[in-house]
Amino acid sequence: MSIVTLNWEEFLQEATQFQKISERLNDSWTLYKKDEQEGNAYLIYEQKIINTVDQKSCTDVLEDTNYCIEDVTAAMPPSNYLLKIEYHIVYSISYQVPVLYFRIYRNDGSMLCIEEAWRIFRDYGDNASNTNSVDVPVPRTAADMLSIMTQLDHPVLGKPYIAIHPCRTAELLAQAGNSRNRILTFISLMGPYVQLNLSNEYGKQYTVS
Amino acid sequence: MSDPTVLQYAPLQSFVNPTFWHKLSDIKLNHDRLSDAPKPIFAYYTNFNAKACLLETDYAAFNGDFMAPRLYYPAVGTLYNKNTIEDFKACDKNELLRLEGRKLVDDFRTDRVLDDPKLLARFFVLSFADLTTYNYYYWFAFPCPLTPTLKVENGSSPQSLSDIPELQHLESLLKSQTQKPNFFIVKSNEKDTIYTLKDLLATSTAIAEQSDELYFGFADPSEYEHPSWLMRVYAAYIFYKCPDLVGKTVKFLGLRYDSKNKCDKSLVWTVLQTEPVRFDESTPFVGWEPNRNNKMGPRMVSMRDSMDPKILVESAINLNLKLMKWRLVPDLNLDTIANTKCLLFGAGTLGCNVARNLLAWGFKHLTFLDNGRVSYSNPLRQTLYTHADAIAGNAMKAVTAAKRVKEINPTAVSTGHVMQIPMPGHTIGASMEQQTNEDLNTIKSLVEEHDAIFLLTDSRESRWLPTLLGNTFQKIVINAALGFDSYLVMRHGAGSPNNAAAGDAAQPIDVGDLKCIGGGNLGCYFCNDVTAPGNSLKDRTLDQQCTVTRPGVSCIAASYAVELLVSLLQHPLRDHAPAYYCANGKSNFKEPEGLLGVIPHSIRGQLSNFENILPATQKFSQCIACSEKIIAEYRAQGNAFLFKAFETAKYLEDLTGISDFKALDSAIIDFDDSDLEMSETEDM
Ligand SMILES: [Zn+2]
Repeated sequence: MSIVTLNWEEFLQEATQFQKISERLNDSWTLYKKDEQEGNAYLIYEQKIINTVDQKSCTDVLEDTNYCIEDVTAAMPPSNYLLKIEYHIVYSISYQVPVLYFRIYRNDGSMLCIEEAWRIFRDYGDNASNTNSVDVPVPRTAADMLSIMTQLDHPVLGKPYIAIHPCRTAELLAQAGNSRNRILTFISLMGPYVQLNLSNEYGKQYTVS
Repeated sequence: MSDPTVLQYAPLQSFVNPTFWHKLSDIKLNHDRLSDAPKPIFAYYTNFNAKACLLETDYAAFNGDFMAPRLYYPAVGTLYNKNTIEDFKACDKNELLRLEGRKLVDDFRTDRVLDDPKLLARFFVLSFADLTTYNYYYWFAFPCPLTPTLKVENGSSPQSLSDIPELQHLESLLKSQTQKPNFFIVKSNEKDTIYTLKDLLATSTAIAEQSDELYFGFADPSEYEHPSWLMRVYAAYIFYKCPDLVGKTVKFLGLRYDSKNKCDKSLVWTVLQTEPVRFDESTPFVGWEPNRNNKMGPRMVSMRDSMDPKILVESAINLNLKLMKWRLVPDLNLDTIANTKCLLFGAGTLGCNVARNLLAWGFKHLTFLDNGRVSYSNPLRQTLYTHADAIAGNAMKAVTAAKRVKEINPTAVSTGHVMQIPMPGHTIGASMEQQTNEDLNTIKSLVEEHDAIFLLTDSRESRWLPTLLGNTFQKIVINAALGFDSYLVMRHGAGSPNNAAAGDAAQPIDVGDLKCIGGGNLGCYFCNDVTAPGNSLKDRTLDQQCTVTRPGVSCIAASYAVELLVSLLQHPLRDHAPAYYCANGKSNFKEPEGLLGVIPHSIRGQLSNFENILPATQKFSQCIACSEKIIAEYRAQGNAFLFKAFETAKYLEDLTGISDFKALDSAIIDFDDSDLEMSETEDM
């Protein structure tokens, strides 16, 4: 079984390069550097997705009907609230590969737990065929989700995040073949599990150059 | 819907990053404290691949030198964070909106918006942060003067930028801009310039004549057909600033980028303002954001799950258990475990190790009962104590153990009771009678308040009272005892209610040559004995009292004790779950299992050959601790009965008739485990 790993310098160099591409494509990946220590820099990306898990309407108990001025010019707000996913591509010193951490929160700042995350991505698996992602088997069962997603402490922030198991990453990177930027390969491989789909333009940046 | 010719706006929707609440709490605790003075804050919005119509904010909102994230535009706001929920509720929201609205109109009047157009992207937040419960009440508002409505030309459909030939140059013109403009003006006849508001409006004289060529552009965070609320404020300003535009058709361009960074989906609304826009004292304002019930009112979010240190610890602690449930045992009932209250008699090696294992399994309610102090030799084996506890000289084990449990898991509920367990044959002097009575009542209520009882003391006699009480009050009783290199862990037979016959619940069903004993008919620690527990500590040297054990024995037995309880708790019959034994060695039949495998009556093992056997034995009808006679007598007489037993163990023997029985032949009821000489250990 062949594997592909990166040392920290390679990770940092390829992450920086990836961020530059993102900037060129007007995408919004940022590279956060806590300090110069090994492992203390990571890529961040945010996006909004439709909230498919909160069925119950809501719990806002206070009401103030006094403050409703009749106003014909406000369109009704949509009932579909959004969730924000914050993805971090962090370096794992022990596995020597990138690890995808993420967390999901609602518009009030409350966080989704891992079970809810599973439900989101499991449901998402059913209609993921229309995305522009690279071809990976789309997870569909709870067992699939269990085997790829877990809760881990974020190595830089020390807070619990949801993560995709790093244990098979080196192997998958090897299977993906030669790569000019392993961060890009990694995100293309893992991202589609969690609705993180890079635009095809990223790949073109390399085929052109 | 309302009049189709009236332009409607997509209201801004607040989207709060959790870090906003973290920062707000931090500032409240460390800087503002009791001050509830308004604070300037910031938010941001985007028109790049925008979803819904959002105004977002995060921890950076409080930065004086706020910079919007890449591809976002800043919005300017004020935070009114109240000190109490009463202040929050009592706050006059109409007045607050009016106050903020006037500030906005002031910025119109003084032309501050020309120098700093982001002042048009305006919001404020009324909030109350309950830092003890991590509940945040908040209400966003996007103030705007209630101006005369804008009429839409050409029915109600906006035009797409791609359908406007005279603006085809805009895409490349915007690309050349490093800083994307938030509010700007373009002219159809000038293909190379993007004007700031100040460029054209500072002297607004000629604006009306050019109105056909002008497009009032703004970064539009709306994904809908309607322009975002920002345009409403923008238009109010434009028609206020340029009264000559009133009565003319005016074009607003909502600039929107798609996921490919193209702006041809931008929309143009051609509108008509028929009445002049003026502001005075009586100008009403609108803009409170409806809550998630779509009613006028504040929102509330509980951030406990991600902010309360106790919850964070708990979720971290529970993670391993949840992983076990998720990956291996989906039916595992972790709530049952978390809700089971455990009472530990004895806080020595066994007590400490049992507590450790209970914590690891997610038990949260642990009560210790012990009367010893931590001595120098203890910390090496008694895993809840340290050398410092021994140096302190007066650290009581029960209290120290409870303290440690809470240090290990701050969400645990743990108390320690320093108390001697009265024992049969250990006569109580008259001076101690009252104290003993009180202790007995305490022990009785402790047993009643808990669900599972562990017998982990250092003598056989001290297990008698807890055995009797556990049976009387139908608690799960787990017993562990140690020899030098051997151990016994067992569950006591389930007690039966006052009015029911023993073990009448489930009919035991044998499986082939596996004999089944219903959980109610299983024996207790004393059922296998023929003698009442006399004073086994009497006439012994210290060495004999402190049975020496191999260090691992306690850990093994403690682990088995806790695992046995967990297995029982996951069985639908709990302590009524049957146990099986094979009369002639190894059975060919498969023993029925609970969720976590077989549930033996007892586990007897030794380190000399690293083997366990799992004997199951019947309840002994003349048992001096669990027989019906004893339980009935205790129920009838209460403490008075106990005192008679403490006076002399012979009383119990006579009561159960065991003395006659013993005279017959003790060998008959001796069990076939004489190779496993069990003794109890002093807790070193
Ligand atoms: Zn018994």
